Amino acid sequence: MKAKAVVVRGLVKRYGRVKAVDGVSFEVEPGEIFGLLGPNGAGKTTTIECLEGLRTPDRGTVRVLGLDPRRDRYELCERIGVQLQTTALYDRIKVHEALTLFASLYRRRGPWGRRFERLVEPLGLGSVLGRHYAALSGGQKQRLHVALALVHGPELVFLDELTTGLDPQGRRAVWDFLLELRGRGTTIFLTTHYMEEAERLCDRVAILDRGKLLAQGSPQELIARLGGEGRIVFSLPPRGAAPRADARVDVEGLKGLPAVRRVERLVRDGRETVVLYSENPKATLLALVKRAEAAGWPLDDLHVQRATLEDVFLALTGRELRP
Amino acid sequence: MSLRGFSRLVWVEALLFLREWQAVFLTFVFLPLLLFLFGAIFRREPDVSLGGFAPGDLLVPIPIAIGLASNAIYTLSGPLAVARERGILRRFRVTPLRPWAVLAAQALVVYLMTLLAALLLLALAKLFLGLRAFANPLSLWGAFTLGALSLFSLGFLLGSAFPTARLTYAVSTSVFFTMLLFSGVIIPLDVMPPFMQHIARLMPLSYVLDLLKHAWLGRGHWPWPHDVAVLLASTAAFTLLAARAFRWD
Ligand SMILES: Nc1ncnc2c1ncn2[C@@H]1O[C@H](COP(=O)(O)OP(=O)(O)O)[C@@H](O)[C@H]1O
Ligand SMILES: [Mg+2]
Repeated sequence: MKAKAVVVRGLVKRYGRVKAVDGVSFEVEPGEIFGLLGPNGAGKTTTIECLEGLRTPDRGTVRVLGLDPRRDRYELCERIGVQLQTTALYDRIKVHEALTLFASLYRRRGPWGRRFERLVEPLGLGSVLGRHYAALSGGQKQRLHVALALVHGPELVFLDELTTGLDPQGRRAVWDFLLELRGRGTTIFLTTHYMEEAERLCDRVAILDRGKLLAQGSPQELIARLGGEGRIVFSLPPRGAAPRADARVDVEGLKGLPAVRRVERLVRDGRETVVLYSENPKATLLALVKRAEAAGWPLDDLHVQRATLEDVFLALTGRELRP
Repeated sequence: MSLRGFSRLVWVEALLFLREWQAVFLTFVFLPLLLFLFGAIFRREPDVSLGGFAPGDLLVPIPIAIGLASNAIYTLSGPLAVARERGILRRFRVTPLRPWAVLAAQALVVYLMTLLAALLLLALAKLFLGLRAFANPLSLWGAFTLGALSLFSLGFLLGSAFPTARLTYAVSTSVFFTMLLFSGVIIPLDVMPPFMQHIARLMPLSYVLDLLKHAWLGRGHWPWPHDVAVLLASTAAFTLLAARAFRWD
């Protein structure tokens, strides 16, 4: 069996009275893309920076590539690549100088070619190699920091909120590049509060909220654990527009529909909305429509959605992932 | 970390220095201007006894000492605090780079640039103000280097001692001007009132200037072994304190 890329057991990190990370345990397999998913302030950065050796855990053990990030700092730093959530470079350094500088700091050499062309082209930096750091756009800076994390061809890459500040196009380019990288055996550890990113990229995710891990598994597993592949959503008539008493939707009774696992009522865009989680959306939908027809329910805005990690988070915490 | 990495870092730091027009102006334009300014003032004095020296001899140690102090403050202390505040140091910390290597590369570049400026000042003094003293180049270089060690380690200490870059600049600038005022670069030690002479004894820059004068002219205010001892001791103290105060973020 291959050694784990990352092992975290009982990690606790406090800032004064705040417990930013509260007893977190997980493992990352070599060669996978592992995502730490959670809202702002969940403790993602604190956790990832404990793995990078930038912060000292108050409790628990952390092993990265079999090494202790504090004790074996320099050995570990040779083998990992890091993109920090908040960081910068000297204003007057040029992009190609930054790449050459960072590449020269490591024993190993990345497989990117003499002028890093196989790294900068996919990341869309080819045209700004001669530009000063200060003259880059936010998205270009972000992509440069991703490139610098990869410049020496590390075994394991840590990416903290890698697509913040990227436009959809840049985001997709970075995602594709990371998937290709995984194909070549690089282990990727990323944090995100962006559900689509986790679903697109991650082999496995761990959901973090207020310093605690709520669940971990592949996105498909977590979604399936919710009790359904899909959800059926419709809105209730506005309160003011009192419908005929006999046409009021019997929300509790919907649990009895075939294949329904869970029924949720929430307010979306100011309207009360019903969400049915179903193992078999087709069967549920048919039964729902039949019942609605008989009872005269309007079923405004009725649609079927594939369940997402967003729903997983909502089900686990009762809150939306993104405010 | 490899030698390859360190030399690349030195190269990049040198490019960054040359792209910072304030640093370039200060080092290569302002210091020569200062030399000529002092020269102009000096020539108006009708009855200074030059004691066998040319005006350039007496003046050239002054801009050299000022160059060491200003670069310690404006290109080491302040920018170190800025790099920390912006998260640049933190980014280096997750590479195999050792902490001393970042500082050493900066110090080396600033040292070489200031040395270049010192050679330029000597050349200009020779051409335009006359130079008659011929110091042992080795002792002159030794005095310069010892001065750099003391003032640069002070720069690193100031660059690490305060929580924000703004505060670092405020304090460093105050320290710089206090040193200018009290260490004999503007008002000669011999004409200072006694209380100022006492304060001058607290300024490393006083000893830097004095040692440069010993090296160049063969005479100074204090005996040169005294200057050397003070500069070595202050280098050790500043380095120790700077190493303790150093933070990556
Ligand atoms: N250096 C720090 N000092 C004090 N509190 C901090 C510090 N860094 C983070 N925190 C707090 O710890 C919690 C977790 O923060 P963080 O790890 O940055 O979360 P995330 O990356 O998931 O947004 C937050 O409540 C944050 O305010
Ligand atoms: Mg964060």
